[in-house]
Amino acid sequence: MKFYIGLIGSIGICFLFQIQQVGALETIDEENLRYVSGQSGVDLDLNFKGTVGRTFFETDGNSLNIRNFSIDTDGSNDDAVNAGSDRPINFIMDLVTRGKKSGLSLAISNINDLDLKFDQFNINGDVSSGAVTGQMHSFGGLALTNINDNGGITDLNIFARGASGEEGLQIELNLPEVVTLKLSYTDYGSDNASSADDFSFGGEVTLNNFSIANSVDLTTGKNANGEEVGGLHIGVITQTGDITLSNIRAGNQAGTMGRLVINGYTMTPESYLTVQGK
Amino acid sequence: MAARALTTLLMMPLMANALERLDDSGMSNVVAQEGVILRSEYEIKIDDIQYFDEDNYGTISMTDVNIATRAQQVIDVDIVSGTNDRLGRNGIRFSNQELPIDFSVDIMRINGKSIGGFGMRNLTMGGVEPLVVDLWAGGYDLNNNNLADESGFTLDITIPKETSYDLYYNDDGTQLTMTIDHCSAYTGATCTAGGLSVKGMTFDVTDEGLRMGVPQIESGQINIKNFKINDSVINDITLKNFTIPSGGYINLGAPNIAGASAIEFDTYLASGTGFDFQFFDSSDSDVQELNANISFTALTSDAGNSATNYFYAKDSSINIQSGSDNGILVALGDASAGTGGLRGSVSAKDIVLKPVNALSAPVLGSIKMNLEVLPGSYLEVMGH
Repeated sequence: MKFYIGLIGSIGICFLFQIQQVGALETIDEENLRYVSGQSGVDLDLNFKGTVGRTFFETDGNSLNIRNFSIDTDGSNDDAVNAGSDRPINFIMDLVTRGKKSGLSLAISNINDLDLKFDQFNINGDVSSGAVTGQMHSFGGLALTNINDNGGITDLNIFARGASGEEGLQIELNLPEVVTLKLSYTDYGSDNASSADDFSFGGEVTLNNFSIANSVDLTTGKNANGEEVGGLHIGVITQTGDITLSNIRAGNQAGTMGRLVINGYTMTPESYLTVQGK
Repeated sequence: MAARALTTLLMMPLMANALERLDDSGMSNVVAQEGVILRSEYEIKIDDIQYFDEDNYGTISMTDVNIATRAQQVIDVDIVSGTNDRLGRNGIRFSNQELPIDFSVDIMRINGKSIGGFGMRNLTMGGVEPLVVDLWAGGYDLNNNNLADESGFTLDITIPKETSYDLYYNDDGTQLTMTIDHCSAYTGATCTAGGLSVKGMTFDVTDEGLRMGVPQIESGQINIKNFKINDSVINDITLKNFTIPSGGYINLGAPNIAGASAIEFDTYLASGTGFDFQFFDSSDSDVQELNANISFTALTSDAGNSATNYFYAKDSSINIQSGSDNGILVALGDASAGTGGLRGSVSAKDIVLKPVNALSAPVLGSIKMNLEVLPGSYLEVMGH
């Protein structure tokens, strides 16, 4: 089984930069020090606009491709037109200790208009790395745009659990009270030169008080033949939140199909997903 | 979510150091085939799911929704290239020999008034043959060139013969229950034939909204057993020998009026859609049967035109009317424009009343109804 990720050079450089930054940090005892001045840590401003041409998972000679996955940290502005006008996303990064667990804490703010989208999801289809050349074997494209934290702060904590007698990592994500975004799935027609046969389904998504905490471990288990194989185990510690999808639209119709609200979503602790090879 | 994705990218080097490394060469020695196995157990609780009609604010709500596994669920995931009638298609195959999932809704309400609760329990695939779900890239072949050169989804589902599950509807403590299975022949207690194959269910977005292709079904069987209200038995029903030709579809969309909110729909069943119906009077030791072949065809006046050679409902809509005395209004046709409605023929052929233990019986005859339901007709469902 092979897993390839094609990344543009700038992201790779970004990884190296992060490693150096972490090495220079000192461990501090408090869980969340973003409001406290005079403590050590790193502040980062990220302004990014880029595209990953092709990401693919290949098994048994068949490939599942994500084409042109793009990230724009401020989609409403464009530095190429008005240099310096983009609003960067702010990161406050600290090493923290909570009880017997230590890890990395990130407080993320100023998400004003983040866009995440890919042009095409296909199987054994277009495998080029530039513009999409056709819609053979395509599921379509997906876009999450205008992602906005509405002035709130996203907390991401990654703890190593080894010191507490457990294994692996604990990843916690607490979204701000209100996160809004636009969701759009696009079904493309065969004419790649025109958008007249392309139609979208989607709406406006609001996430309220979303909180996720998962454990991540590498484990060992048996496959169908009774052989020991490795696996990635993702355990649920907590998952809660509310979701609203409003102004649901499909095609070229001017009206809406209504609004869907999910209140009090919870995935109970002890829920898990294990990913294994065969 | 955006922040998590971005930060996960940034944190990859740290995660790699914290986790133990998988030995790729060792993995390839112990696995017989490439692909992924997903093992999971979960319980999802939702306090409330609400749907709002946004122009008059009527609501449908489901309270205390629960989806949970009873045991570990194992799903094989493969990326596959099609063969035989799916030659030239590529997709993702999900297969599993057990799907131990229960589902329940405690209370469903329309504009705050309860219509009861419902759910599914004891779903089992039997653990003999897998449930196979193939998700093919590419949907409806709009340009009719027999190539998957337009995006979308096509779903094929093969349900094994041993599959069974219980459905229930609960109204103030009185419960309507039934057991559904797909077995057509037994040797002792072992099911030896049956199952259901659902093929070519397409999903697309068009200028009018969401287009879902009605799946093609040939043969197959659905048994409704233990059909009863509390302990009062209603008897058993079997639907079998399905014939659903390809070409049927359903459109779901919004009104083409700014500010308006509704779910508009057109339903087209390919002419010739049908199945055999069997009703078993098995409440005592004698078992009698009522048999007939049910089919849906286009009206004779519509059959000569490929655009109307369907049993169809056109320009119809679903609105949730606001107010406690109102509910879900299903309108057939557009009353204001005077268009659409329902058109087609329904027939029950070769009606047979079969006595106990008889292999055959005289045919009573057949019934055929030519339907033309005019716009302005509607059904409203309310709670109380």
